[in-house]
Amino acid sequence: MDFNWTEEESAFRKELRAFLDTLVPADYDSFALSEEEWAANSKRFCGLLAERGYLTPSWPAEYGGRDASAFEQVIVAEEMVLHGEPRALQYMSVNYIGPTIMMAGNAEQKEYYLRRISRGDVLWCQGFSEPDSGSDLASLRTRAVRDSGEFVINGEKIWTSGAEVADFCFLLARTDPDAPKHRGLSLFLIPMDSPGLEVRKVPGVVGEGAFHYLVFTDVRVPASTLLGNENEGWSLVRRALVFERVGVAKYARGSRYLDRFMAWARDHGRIGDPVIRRRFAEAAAAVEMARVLAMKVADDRVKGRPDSPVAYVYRTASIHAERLVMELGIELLGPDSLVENSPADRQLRWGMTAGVAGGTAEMQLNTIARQVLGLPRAS
Amino acid sequence: MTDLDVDRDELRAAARDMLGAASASARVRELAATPDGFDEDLWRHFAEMGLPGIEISEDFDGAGARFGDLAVVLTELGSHLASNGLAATTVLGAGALAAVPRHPRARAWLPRVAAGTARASAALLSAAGEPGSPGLLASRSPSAAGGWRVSGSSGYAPDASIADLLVLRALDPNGRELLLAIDRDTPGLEVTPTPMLDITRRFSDITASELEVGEDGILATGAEATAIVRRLLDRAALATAADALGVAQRALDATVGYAKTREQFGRLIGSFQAVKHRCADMFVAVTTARIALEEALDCYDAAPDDATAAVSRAKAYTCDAAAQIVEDGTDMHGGIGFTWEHDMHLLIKRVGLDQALFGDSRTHRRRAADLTWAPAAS
Repeated sequence: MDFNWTEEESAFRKELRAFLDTLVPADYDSFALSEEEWAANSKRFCGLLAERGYLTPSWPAEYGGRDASAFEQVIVAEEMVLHGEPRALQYMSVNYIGPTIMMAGNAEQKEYYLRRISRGDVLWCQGFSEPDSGSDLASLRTRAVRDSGEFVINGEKIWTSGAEVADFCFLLARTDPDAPKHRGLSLFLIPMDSPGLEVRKVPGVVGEGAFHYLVFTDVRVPASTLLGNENEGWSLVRRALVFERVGVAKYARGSRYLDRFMAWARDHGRIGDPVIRRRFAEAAAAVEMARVLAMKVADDRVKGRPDSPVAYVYRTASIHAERLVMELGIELLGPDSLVENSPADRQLRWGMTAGVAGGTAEMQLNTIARQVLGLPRAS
Repeated sequence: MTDLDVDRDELRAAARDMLGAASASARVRELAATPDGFDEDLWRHFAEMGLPGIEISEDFDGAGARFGDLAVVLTELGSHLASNGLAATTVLGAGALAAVPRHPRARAWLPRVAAGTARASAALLSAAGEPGSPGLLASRSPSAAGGWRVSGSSGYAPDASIADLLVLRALDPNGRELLLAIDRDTPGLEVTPTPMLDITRRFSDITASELEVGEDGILATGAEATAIVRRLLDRAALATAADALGVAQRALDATVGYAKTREQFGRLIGSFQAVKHRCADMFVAVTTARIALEEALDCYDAAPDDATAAVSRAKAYTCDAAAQIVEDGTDMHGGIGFTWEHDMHLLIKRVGLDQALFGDSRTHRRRAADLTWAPAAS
C-alpha cells in the first residue's frame, strides 16, 4: 500500500481543518455539557458539516455523499477527534450504522434512514450489550417475537451511550430461541419514542454522556423495522463491528493529547527530562503504529478485503497506545493529572475504558488466535 | 493511491521458495562450520534471480526497483537465517556507489554487482560498533598527489571477508568525512572475522595500516560524504529491522506450529487460552512491526533525507518487538527450545545482534525524539 495522501485528500483535509478551526473551540472536549446540550450541538454541528459535504464524503451520492475516496472518510474521523469529536454520537451512524443499513437495508429503509444520517440531524444509540451478555454478545436474551405485522420486544440492554437523547436504537435481539446462539439473532431499527421503552441512567467515568440501561416491556414495532433477513443479524453485526473497531481514530486522540502534554512539558521546564523524553518517544511511536495500522485496514477495505486480520491488530495496538499516552500524562503532570477535566484526566478516563469499549482486548486476542493463527478451540 | 503490493507478494514468494530449498536449517548449520560461511550455490541463486542488482539503476544493468522491494528479500533472508553477502553488497556496497553514479568506481562496479560477479561491503562503524563516528583516520598521502593515507580500525563490517570491494568511512585531520572505495586485497588493509554468537552471519573488523587510497578511490568528501554516510546508516538500520522482522515471523510460525502439535493434559497446548493469548500477542507485534517498517521504507523511497524519524522508530520498534517475540516463542517451546538441535537459539542470537547493530534501540529512540521535539538541553 501507499502511505502518502493524494493531492485531493490533502486539499480536503486542509479545507476541513480550516472550517473546524473557525467553528470548534480548541478545548471543546473539556466542556462540561449536559446530555441535551451535547446532543443539540451534535445536530447543529453535523448539519453544518453535511451542508458542506464534510459529514459523509465517501458515501454514494444517492445517499447524500459525494462518492469521494474512502480515505476522505478516514480524514473526517481523524480531524473530528483532533477537534474534540463534536459529532458526538453521530460518529456511530456515520461509521457503521449507516454503512450496515447501506449493506442490508431495503429501498425504503435506505431512503428513509441514510438521507437523515447524511443530513446530520439524527442521533442513534446502540442496543447490543446486556447485563449478562458482554464479551459473549451472541448469548443475549432480549426477545423479539413476531405477532402478525409486528414484533414484540422484551428484554434489557446496558452500556448504551446517549440513549436519553437518541432518536433511534440499533438493536440486536433474539428472534429464534431454538436456533444455535449465533443463528437466532436479528437487527432492528427502533424509534426511541416507542411505548414501553424505558431509559435509565448508569453514571460512568468517561463523561461523554452517561451510560444507560434500556428496558423493553412489550415494545411493539412494525415488521418494517427489521434490518436484513430475520435470524441473520449476527453476520451483519460482525461486519458492523469491524467498521466500528477502526472507524474511531483513537490514535488521533492520542496525538492530540501528546501535543498537549508536550506543551505542558515545555511550559514547566520538563522537556529535557530523559525519562519523560523516552516515554514521549515510546508513546508517540505506539500512536504512529496504530495510525499506520488503521490506514492498512482502510486500504484493505478499499481493496475488498473487509475481513483483514489487521483490524484486530489495530484494535489491540491502539489500546496499547492509549495506555502509554495515559501513563505518560500521569507521570508528567503528577497531581495535576488528577484535577478534573485536566488534559491528563481526560486521557486517564479514555485510557481506563480502552481495553473494554468496542470489544475487550482479550477478545481480540481470542479472535486472532482462532481465526488468524488457527489455534484449536478449548474442547 | 497506487501500490506495488502484488509485485512484492510475488517477489516474497519467489525468495521464500528459493531460500526454503537452498537455505534449509541443515545447510545453515553446515555453513556455520566453514571459515567464511559462504555458499557459492546460494550466491548463484541470488544472481539468477537478479537479487544483487534489484535496486541498481537500469543504466547499470540493474532492475531499478526500490529499496522497499529489496527489503522484502532481506526479510526472507532473516526468516531463513541466511546472509551470504547479499545484504552487505546491496544495502551498503551498491548503496554507496549508487549515491555517486558518475564516479568511475560506480560505473565500473555497479554493472558487475548487478550481474552477480562482484560483492561489496562497507566499514561505517567505530571499532566498538558505534554509528556516531568512523573508526578510520585519514591524512594526505605523502606519496600520491590527491590521495589519502588511512589508518585505524572499524568494527562489524558485514560479510567483508567475501567482498571484492570495500567502502570505507574515514575522518580527515579537519574532521571532515571521506567516503572511499578500495579493492579488498589492497595492501595495508586487513579483514579479520569476528567470532559472533550469531553463527548465521559473518562480521569482520577492518584494520587499515597506512593504507594508501588514490584519488580514484575517493567517492565523496566533506558534506557530500556525510550525507551519503547518513543515508547508508539509515539503509543499514532499515535492513537490520527487515532482518529482525523475518526472524520474528519465523519464530511466530514455529511457535504456532508447535502449539498445534504438542499435547499436554490430553489436549493440544494451543487450545489453552494462556498459550493462545501469547501467540496472538506475538502476531500483533509482528503485524505492527511489519507495518511500521513498511511505512519507514515507503518514506525512505519517497524522500530518503526526510525519512530519518520513521527509520529510527521502525528500527527500535521492530528489533525490540522481534526480540520479545523470539523470547516468548522460546518459552512456549519448553525444554525443546533450549536444545542445540532446535533453531530457536539461532533466532535468539540473530535477533539480539539485530537489536545491537547499526544503532541500538535506545540510540534510535533518542534520535526519533530529538527529531520530533527539540533536542534535550543536557
